[in-house]
Parts: sequence; structure tokens; C-alpha cells
Amino acid sequence: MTNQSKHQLENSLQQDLQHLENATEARDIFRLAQARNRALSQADSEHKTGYLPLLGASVTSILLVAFFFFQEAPEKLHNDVISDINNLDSAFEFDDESIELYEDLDFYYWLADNEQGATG
Amino acid sequence: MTLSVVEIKEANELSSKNAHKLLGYSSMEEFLKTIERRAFHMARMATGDPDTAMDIVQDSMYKLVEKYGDKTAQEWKPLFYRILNSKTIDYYRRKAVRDRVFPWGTYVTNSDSDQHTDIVDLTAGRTSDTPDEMIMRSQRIDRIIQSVNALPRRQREAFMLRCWEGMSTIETALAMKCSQGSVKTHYSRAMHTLRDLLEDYNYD
Repeated sequence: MTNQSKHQLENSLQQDLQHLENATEARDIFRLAQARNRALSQADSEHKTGYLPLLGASVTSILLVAFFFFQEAPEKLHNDVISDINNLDSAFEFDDESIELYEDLDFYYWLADNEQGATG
Repeated sequence: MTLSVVEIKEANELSSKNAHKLLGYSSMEEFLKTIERRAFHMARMATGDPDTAMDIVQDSMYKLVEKYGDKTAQEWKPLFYRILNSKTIDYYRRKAVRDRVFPWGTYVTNSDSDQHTDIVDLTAGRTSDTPDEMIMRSQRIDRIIQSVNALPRRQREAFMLRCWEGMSTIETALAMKCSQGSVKTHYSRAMHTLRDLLEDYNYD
């Protein structure tokens, strides 16, 4: 094939294929425009919402942590309160010696006053 | 003489603007508008089904915008056609599997659509051609489609990108993921085959 005939064939094929392209049916042109707009808008929305999966995962993990924390918290709080009450009770517990001391407190005050009077 | 960073940046911007003027598009939307019809017809020739071709073109557009939107405008065309070719190959593979699994299935083939396309559908509505010219042209287009479909896949790709799309050898090599030498070989063989197949094709 000579260069000239090759170029002739190329040019002729180009023209006919260009004609085929220009003769695209209106229905196909419309569908192509739809496809183009969809591709552009989908990619755009995906770009805007690209961080959403990360955000969703973060929120979910925070919620899970919070859920487990508050689920365990009342039981722990209950135990803490009970132990505090027990500690409080133990603080007010008196042995027999202390009770006797408390009952004889007036006597010890009188004794102390007398001793002060005797020395003073 | 050394150029400052600002000067280099300005030079790049200027060359980029000039490139946009040469290319005829500066935004992704403009680029897609310029190539969508051609890409559709290429995919239609390759698959023989307009609906499948439409899906392939849409997927290619979507992938280009999604993955390569940040590339320079000069790179879009080879990248787009590389995606289009990959999608077409994917279609062939899926079809081969389907045909193997469901051999009784009826699928649209080239003989069902393009080769028997009504001549009237292929004619342009707003040309000054006479009816005779329109019919002759449509018949020629029918023959071209049949002949192009008869080419091996790589030769067909080389022909479409070089002859129809008018891409350079370098761009075609990028789009076809092969060397420039391979492009030249595929294209040359394609033209020889077409010349033989279109022996009585009136191109003088």
C-alpha cells in the first residue's frame, strides 16, 4: 500500500466515521448527556461525602464505648455506695469500752473540774 | 539564567492555558462532551449492543471523573480510552463466562444489531446530502462497521484511536498500554486488512 493510497483510505474512513458520529440518534445523545451528568454529579457527591464513612465509624465507636460504660456504671456505682455506707457504719461502730466511756463522760467532766479547783 | 519559582509556575499556567486552547476543552464536562459520541460508537461497534455500549461509556466516564479528575487535561483522553478498552474487555470476559454457563441464553451479538442496523437510523438528519448520497454513505458505513468488527481486538483499538480519534502514536500507546512500536504494527496491519476487506470501497 502506497502512502498516498493509505492516506486516501484513512481520510475517507475518517469522513465516514465522522458522519456516523454526527448521525447519532437523538435518543442516544440524550442518554449520553444523562450519563455524563450522572458521572459528574456522582463523583462530585462522592467527593463531598468521602469523609462520611470515617465519621460514621467514629460516631459508632463513641456510641459503643458510651453504651458499655453506662451499662457497667450503675452496678459499679451501687457497689461503691454500699461500700461507702458500710464504711460509714463502721465509723459509728463503738465497742463496749467506748460506750462505757461515753456514759461516764459526765463523771469525768466533774472530776476534771474538781481537780482544776483543787489545784487552782 | 535561572527562573524563579513564581516564573516557572506562571510559565506552567500559561502552557496549560495554551494546551486548553489547543485541546478545545478545559473542564471535565467539556472533555466528556467532545468524546462521548465517538466513544459510544466505538463501544457499540465493539459490543454490538447500544445499551451495553451506553453502560460502558457511562462507567468509563464515571471512573475517569472519580479517579483521574485531578490529572491534567492533556492526560484525560488517553486515560479515558484506556478505561473504555478495559471496560470493553471486561464485557467480553463476562459475556464469555455467561455464554459458557448459559449456552442456551440469547444475547445480542454483532449480527443482531450493528450489522443489520436500519440504514435510515444511520443517516444524518441535518445534512445537505441528497437521498442517493445518504444511502450510499450509509451502505459504506455499514461495510466499514463490518470490516472493523472483523479486525482482531488490538488492531481495532489501534485503528479507532489513530484513525478515528486522531490520537498520536504516543497517546495511543498510553491508551493501549503498549509501546509505540506495537501501536505502529497494529495500526499498519489494521489498515492493510481494511484495505483488503474494503477492496471496492469507494474512497477516491
